[in-house]
Amino acid sequence: MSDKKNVEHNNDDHHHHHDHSLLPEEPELRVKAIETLLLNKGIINSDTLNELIDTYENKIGPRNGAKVVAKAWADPEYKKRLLENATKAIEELSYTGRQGEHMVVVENTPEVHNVVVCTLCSCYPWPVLGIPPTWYKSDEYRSRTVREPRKVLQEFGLELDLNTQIKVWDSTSEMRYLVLPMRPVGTEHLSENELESLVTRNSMIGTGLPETPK
Amino acid sequence: MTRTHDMGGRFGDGPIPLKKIDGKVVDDEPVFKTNWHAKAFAITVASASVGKWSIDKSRFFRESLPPKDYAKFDYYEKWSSALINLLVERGLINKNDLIEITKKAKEDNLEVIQVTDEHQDVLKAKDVAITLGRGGPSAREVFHSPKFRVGQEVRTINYSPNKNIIGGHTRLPIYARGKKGKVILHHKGHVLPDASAHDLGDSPEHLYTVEFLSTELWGDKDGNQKDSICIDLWESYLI
Repeated sequence: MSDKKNVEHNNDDHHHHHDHSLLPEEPELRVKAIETLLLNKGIINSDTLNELIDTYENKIGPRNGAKVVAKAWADPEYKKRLLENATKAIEELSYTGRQGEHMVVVENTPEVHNVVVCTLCSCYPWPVLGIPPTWYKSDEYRSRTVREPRKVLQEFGLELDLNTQIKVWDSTSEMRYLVLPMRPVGTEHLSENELESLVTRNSMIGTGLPETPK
Repeated sequence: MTRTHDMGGRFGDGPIPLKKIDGKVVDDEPVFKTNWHAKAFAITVASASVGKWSIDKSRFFRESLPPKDYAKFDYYEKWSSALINLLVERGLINKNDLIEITKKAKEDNLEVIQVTDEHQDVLKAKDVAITLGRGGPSAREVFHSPKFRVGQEVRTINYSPNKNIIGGHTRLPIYARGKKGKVILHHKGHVLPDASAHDLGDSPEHLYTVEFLSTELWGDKDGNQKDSICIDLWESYLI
């Protein structure tokens, strides 16, 4: 790390962590003030804000991930590619980019159950799951999942057999983890589209299971 | 040395805030619960095009909020407050701007003017899909061979890995410091957050996933003795 040598210890970073307190305290008004200020400074553009919101409200969300999972269930060759190089296999379905640049898919089996958390912030695979739900970003989920995953999963209604090993993935880097849940029994006759409808968001985080066919 | 965001394993937090009906989890939350959440999200993503900070720097600014604010703030309050601090640090706005806009906000006089000279790097609506689709890969070439191999036993260092900045950004959670684990994946070279968060370049290092037994991290307890926690760790975090 030669480029790190000779770097003066720089305290500048520490001077700006209180500037936000100059803004109105009430969050809605604070955000309105920021929006107005940045629009007037030409730093952001109003159409862009609408486009970003529309993208994550309507285009990028957990139904993408459900398509990946259903394809892996229906097509053993695809599943193999997905487990070997998830980023590339997911790109086949055109889900790429921001917060999904480096994907890893972890497979649930009768022996191992995977569950994903980000204890340090809220890392989550956006291209396949969209914006994380509130509980994923909560202090409760972040603090407890690494220490007492079985209790946490119980709160989700998931009772795991003691013989099943739980693997918790703490997303500390830019690798993004997607759980490949086990295909529910009794689904042999279902089409890929029908399979897709069984895949829940929580089953791809590891805090739930797919639905069973009615 | 720790910061308030580094909460893995902490005691005292209550039940996971889940919506339940008849004891069953219901997953029907809207993507953005309020309009201001949506706006805070979009403003933050859009501003990065002009601010050009790394994702690590934006994380560092969120976790550097005063602990009392971090604990009290809603998720998107953290985002929008950290964004303001970043913009001031970058010199894109100044404290007077904040004082003035606050005065106007309190007078209910927030007026959007027609801007004729947008910043040259402003994110345009037509570029949103391609910008998001491209993302910002953190993989980088590292020219030395990896120090560790898959299957090897390693130990994490027992202090904050950030050697350049006191209280600086790092991604070695405090609950996993000084612990023994096994390398299970090698992801090749990736940008080192400890450097990138402080504008010190990419300083790429080999990145590994290390599996720690739950018993190693928390001591013996009931449950499956094979339960484990897998954490992505850079080479300089490991010995």
